[in-house]
Amino acid sequence: MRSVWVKSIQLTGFRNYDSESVALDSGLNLFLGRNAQGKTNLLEAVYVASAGRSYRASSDSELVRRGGTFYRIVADVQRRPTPVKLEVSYSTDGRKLVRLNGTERIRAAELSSFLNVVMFTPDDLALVKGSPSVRRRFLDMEISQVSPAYRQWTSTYAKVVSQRNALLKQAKGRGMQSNSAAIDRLLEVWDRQLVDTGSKITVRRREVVASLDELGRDAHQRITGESSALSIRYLPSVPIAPEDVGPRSGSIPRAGQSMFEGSASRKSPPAGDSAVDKRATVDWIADRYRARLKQMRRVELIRGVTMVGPHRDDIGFQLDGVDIATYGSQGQQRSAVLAVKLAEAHFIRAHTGEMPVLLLDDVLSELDERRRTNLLREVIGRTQVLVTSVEPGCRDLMPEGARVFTIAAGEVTPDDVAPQRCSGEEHGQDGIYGPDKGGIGHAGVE
Amino acid sequence: MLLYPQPVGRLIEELRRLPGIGQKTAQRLAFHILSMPDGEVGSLADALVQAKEKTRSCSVCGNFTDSDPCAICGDDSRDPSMICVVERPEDVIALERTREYRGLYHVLGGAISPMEGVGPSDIRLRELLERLKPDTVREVIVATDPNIEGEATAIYIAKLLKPLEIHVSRLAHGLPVGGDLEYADEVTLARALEGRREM
Repeated sequence: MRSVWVKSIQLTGFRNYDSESVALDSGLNLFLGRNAQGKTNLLEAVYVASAGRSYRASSDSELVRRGGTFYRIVADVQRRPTPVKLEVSYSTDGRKLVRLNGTERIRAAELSSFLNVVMFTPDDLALVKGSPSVRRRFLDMEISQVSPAYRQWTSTYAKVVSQRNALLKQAKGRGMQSNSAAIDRLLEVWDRQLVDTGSKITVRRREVVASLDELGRDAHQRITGESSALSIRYLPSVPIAPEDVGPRSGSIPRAGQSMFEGSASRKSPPAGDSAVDKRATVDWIADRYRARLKQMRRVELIRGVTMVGPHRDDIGFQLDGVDIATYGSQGQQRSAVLAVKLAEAHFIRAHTGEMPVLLLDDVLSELDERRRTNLLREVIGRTQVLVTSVEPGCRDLMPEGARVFTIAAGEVTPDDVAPQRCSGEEHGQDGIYGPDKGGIGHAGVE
Repeated sequence: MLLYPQPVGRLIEELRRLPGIGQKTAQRLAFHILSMPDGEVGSLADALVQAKEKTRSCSVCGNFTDSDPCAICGDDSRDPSMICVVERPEDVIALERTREYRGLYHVLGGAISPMEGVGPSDIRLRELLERLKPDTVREVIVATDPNIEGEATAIYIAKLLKPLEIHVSRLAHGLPVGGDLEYADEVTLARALEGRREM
């Protein structure tokens, strides 16, 4: 079942870690410690080993230990058929190195074909409450993990938008608004590329949000134990369905049915999954995209920016038809975010065949007891999970066999062997920890 | 404090302006030049000046040349019914290496890029249209770079030439020859898949 998991992780010069090696359990790992001791940094390191970059630092130099000149992360990943060693290192002279099995240089983007992770942090709340750019970044990072072509489209698309914006600004500056034939001729070369890549991105996002919607609704019901229906709606900038005119209009699709399927309207794109249908869908959206650009041309020339396309997409979250960002309680928002993240994990499993490793950074304390229990039940036994908490009481929530660590000032100590902690590179996987875990209860979990 | 004697510092500064040359390489080159025999240095300096003085743009195709028209434009054995449009002189050399193309060239001197302030009137498109007037050209092959600026330029040219009823083609994007399919990167492979053709 747990076909991919991190057997051990070694950190050198990373954040507040000098040199540390942590042997992990294939199931649940709990890291306890006071604030600012390095719990989040440890989870971040696992994230970097999968994504090649941090989810919170804007540059690699932030990850280097204060006063240091480099960091290195080495993750021993168990996977079938053979285990791999993933290494990410960076030195402050700007050299970044990503290697497989200690020798072969690979691109950072390739790491995710060996290890996928999903990170849960308190900041995820921004997914619901933050600006649309947060949600677009979430979608892009998620889709990029399973589709390298998508990554390319988004980067090409961003360049086209920049060029097109530069042109719109120049036209504005030269007062060219009146000479529409000349502008059209200049814009056309960018419009074609904008529509071409933008339509492909829109189609992919539409597919992915539809599956997140389905997965998220299920996960939400399991976490809350309530029947309220969470819906995740794609709100594309290019109007692709009659109900997509704005975030506050529109109906909730029936359970188990994505909002695009089942619509008999001639105004809807083809719904099939075949290559022919996909091609037709891209063409269908491209038509709408071009029409919308035409409508917006005047406004674009006045504002000097591109107004239509995936760079202005959004996602909306609703609970029983009510917008959560506006009307939801803090608790409802948190549950929605958890559900979206779990949906992301299931989405990755559906595409890669493997459940990603889950990194739960300080999220348990924000949930009421029932949600906490439900969340743990949801993840335990399905995949490797790394949990951090400041509350020693969390220990009691852990199931039998969970491995508990204490983190203090950049040192990670497994609880069982606190007096004579091992410092070797390789901890015995069974020897030290053994089956003797009687002291840890599992009160909160059935 | 000056690290170098003033003339050496100046040499390093001049070398640093060259593409691909950083501070360290510039210093290495400068020190190497200082250790060269006087004659060789003179010959190098002379080569620099001569290369610049004796070459100019071909009045027909825009490629670098020491004679006008250039060796390619003046070669009667080449097929005047085909013109291959490229961004830079280097691209001509790359295509010539194939020894497969026997038509003529047209060097644009860049690609459309609003961010760098380069519009259609800043590259040699007017000259291209002039060349097409006599009606000898049947095909224009657009070989601009496979990036968004090259693509934009290609689209612009195709549109521009449409009323002339000249066949306009674009170089294919595809897989490198001689490699294994499994080693092609996903993006190249995906593009090759998109551009697949009927057999």
